[in-house]
Amino acid sequence: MRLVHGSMTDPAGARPGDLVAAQGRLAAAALPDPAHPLRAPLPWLPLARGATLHNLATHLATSQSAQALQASAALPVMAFDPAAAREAFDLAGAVARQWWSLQAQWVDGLAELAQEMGEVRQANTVSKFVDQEVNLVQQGLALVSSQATATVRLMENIQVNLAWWVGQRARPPA
Amino acid sequence: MASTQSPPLADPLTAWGAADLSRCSVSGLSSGAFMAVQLHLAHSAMFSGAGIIAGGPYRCAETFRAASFIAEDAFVQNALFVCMNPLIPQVGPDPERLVAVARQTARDRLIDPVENLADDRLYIFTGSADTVVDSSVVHTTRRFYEALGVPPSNLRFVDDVPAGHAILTTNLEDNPLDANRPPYINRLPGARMQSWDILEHLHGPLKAPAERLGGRLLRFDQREFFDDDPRSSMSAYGYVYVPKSVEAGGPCRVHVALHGCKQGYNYVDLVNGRPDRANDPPYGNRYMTTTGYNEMADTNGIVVLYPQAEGIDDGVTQNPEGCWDWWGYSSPDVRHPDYYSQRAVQIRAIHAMVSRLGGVA
Repeated sequence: MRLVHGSMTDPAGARPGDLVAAQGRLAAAALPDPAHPLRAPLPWLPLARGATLHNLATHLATSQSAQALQASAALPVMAFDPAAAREAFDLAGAVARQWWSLQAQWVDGLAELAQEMGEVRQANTVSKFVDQEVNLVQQGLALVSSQATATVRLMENIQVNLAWWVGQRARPPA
Repeated sequence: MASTQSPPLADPLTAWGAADLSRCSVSGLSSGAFMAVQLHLAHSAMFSGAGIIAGGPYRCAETFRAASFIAEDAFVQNALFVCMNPLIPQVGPDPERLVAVARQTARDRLIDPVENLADDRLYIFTGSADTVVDSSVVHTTRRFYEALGVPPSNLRFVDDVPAGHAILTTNLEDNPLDANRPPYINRLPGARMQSWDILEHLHGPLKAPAERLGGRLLRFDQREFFDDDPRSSMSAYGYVYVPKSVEAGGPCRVHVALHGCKQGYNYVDLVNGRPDRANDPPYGNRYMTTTGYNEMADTNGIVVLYPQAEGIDDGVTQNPEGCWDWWGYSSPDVRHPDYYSQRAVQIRAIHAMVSRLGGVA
């Protein structure tokens, strides 16, 4: 698959049998491959991705239920612990800083995109013009995608760190 | 990402009979630093010092097992959120607990006795602008080694350089000092490479580095050391720098230099989740050629071994960025990982390479 567009060195020549070979590769992708037993054949893909998501959701629900139980046991003790209050304040501050950093990346990304869109760029061929337009769309999508991934990662970070923080306080003294 | 075709065979690693295997050292950046700690503890009879740039303490990824119901998920989440980016230091790794874990691992004979560490030398570095591995984590690495008995005089801890996540060089082509991006090789104003400081601290006063290399950087086939096991996530080839004096039969010491994530020779960046093979990044061999290790090794009879990890993300091994294993992806049993022990496939492989250099295997 081509991931980069608009290079003058892109292969453009045709070879006999290109289409037949491509159709062969598509057919092979639709069948189980003994050499790659972990690769799901095409028709099974929706089922395989669904199973992955289902497993992840189940694990997440189980982990978070256990962590919630642990938190409910630790919270009464933490309510009278001044150190816990200070650390909770620090945690909230750290989360806010990470969130602002995400916002900064978003604004920087928008600014870069706007600057690039505003530049008057030459195109000697229609294909290059189309390529420039599609590149801008892809850069916009990449920005949205990286923000979404970073936001989910921050949520995971908060969840794990909070659970570990509470877990340490719920642990009986050594 | 690994190529789908098996690369051609290369020459085997050659023994250098005069190598002193009791004075070996290891250093690494990021995942290479975490691995340097593991290798140091696993074979402390062989390694008398370690250089750690932006690395956390031993078995850090097993800090909070309850992070997830599934062990494999918990270790990855610990690696990311406890050992790399804890929101505050109190939710980072607990060095006292990890010291107890290390002592127990030694009692279980999975690593060499930790008493070997008492006279070892440590160089530990964290850039104050590092946003990939938080400095608070690297502070726990220092506390971990101190608790294991390494005297302060043997431990050089540097945390006052405003550097990002990188090994520092003097090359004009490298990233600015505070950058946190690939190839994770940043430019330090001045005339000294960080690798020179590492080697000098670990091996004592050394001769000035060579201005022009006299030795050779040799490629060797790594696969014999891990039986081509895909779980190893190691590349087909490794590299070794051999000074001219060592080729002529002179005495030598061995230093293992471990690259970080995305720094192996055949790493290919991912674009939209796919390896961008049409635009391979140009820094595949920069870690072994431009970070200054070879220049210092050249004049001091040090053989530098550069083992290579590679990215695999195939449903069994989740290591798309070619990191060294410090959270268990290479372990056959994910619930009882062995990545930190002498049994670990990567540690076994590197240990066998060093032994070969010394003519032992």
